[in-house]
Amino acid sequence: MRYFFTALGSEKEARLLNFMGAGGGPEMRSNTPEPIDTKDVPLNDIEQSLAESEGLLESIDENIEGAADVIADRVEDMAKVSQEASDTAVQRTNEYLLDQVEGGKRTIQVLIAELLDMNADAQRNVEEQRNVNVTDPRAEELSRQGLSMSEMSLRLTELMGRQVDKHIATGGALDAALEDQEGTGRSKTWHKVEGGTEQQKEAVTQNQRTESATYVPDASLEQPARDILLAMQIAEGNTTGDVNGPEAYRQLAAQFTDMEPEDQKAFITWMNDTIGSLPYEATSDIAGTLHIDRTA
Amino acid sequence: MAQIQKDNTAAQFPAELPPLPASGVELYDSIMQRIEPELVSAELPNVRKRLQNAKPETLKMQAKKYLAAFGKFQEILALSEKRMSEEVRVFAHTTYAALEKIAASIDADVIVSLEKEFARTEDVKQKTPEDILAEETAPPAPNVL
Repeated sequence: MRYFFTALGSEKEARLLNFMGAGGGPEMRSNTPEPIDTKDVPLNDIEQSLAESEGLLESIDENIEGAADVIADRVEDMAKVSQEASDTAVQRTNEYLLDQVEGGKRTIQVLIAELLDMNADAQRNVEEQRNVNVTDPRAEELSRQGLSMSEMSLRLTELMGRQVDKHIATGGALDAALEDQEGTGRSKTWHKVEGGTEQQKEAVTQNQRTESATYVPDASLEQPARDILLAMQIAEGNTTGDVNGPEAYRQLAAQFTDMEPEDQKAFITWMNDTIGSLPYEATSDIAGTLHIDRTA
Repeated sequence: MAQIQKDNTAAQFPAELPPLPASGVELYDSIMQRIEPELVSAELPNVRKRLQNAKPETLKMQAKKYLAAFGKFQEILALSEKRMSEEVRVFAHTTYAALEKIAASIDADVIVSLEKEFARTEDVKQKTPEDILAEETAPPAPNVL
């Protein structure tokens, strides 16, 4: 018999937890409570500010000089409080959404892992494994959905990163204003978190990995990659030389398979940038196998 | 033996995120535009001028109108957040429903494979203890020589 329940146990458990976490609270996988559970605080701020403004308005004699300025100040304060409350609402909703998207991504990864497990027999032969996995329509569909979720996640983290930057800038401006006002050192109450929160840091790291400009492969990877590039140029008649292209590919492919998926993605981007205008393209399949094919 | 029926209908996986506002200011403006256009972000710098130019007898009235707008804003913001939360919930529900469908399809394949395995095993007739005993106590085959 090919499958045993115990062999799939850990993945099924993880999948089950992910599904349960879809509607779960903080005690489950879902770390972010639904925004509406915590909405009262900023709204109370508006309510309090409104009550103060109404009290002030009643006490103002509109015929007294400067009354318009006092009222204008209150209106500006109210607008600021309302915008901050909107900011908080958007931030909370985005965090909630990001949490759900991340959960979906994890579930997709578990499902892909299960599909790969189901082809365990075929995995004895690497070439067969590649063919089986790539032609499995569910694996392809899941891969597309996983990519879609990753893109959504990236967009969200970028969006939230911009908001964090804005808040840090506001904090910096407040500190500077306090410093000018008090003639003291920087306020100790505002601590800029270098690089943002852990979540933001992770997003930034992922972005950096995908940017070929900042990605530099290890020397053990770069050398066979350069050999392959030289082999391509020789094949295209651009240069002359002697290099063992197939051996370089074997070395590179062996190391590529052992790399983390993020590093594989970054390497593919770097490789294609390095290939430039040559009619070749580096790709990888769902089994994590490197392919370098001629495009024309 | 009951056969597992696979659900072959396509799972609807959401391709896009829910259309949420990109920033707090965008949300503020979208709400305030409907309540009091004079208080949207772009118009806020002109509020002081408007109040300065207002006649003393209308000053308070205009200020009250603005404060009432903020009160209304508070109510709509609460509803908007609830709506945004609901959109995220629907998005997550659709996503997980699609994934669950795919998971069910994978499970169905595994169960079908198990059923086939069981059916194959049943085809090979197993010897019962009685069969084994009968074989042992059976008289030896006649010597044909």
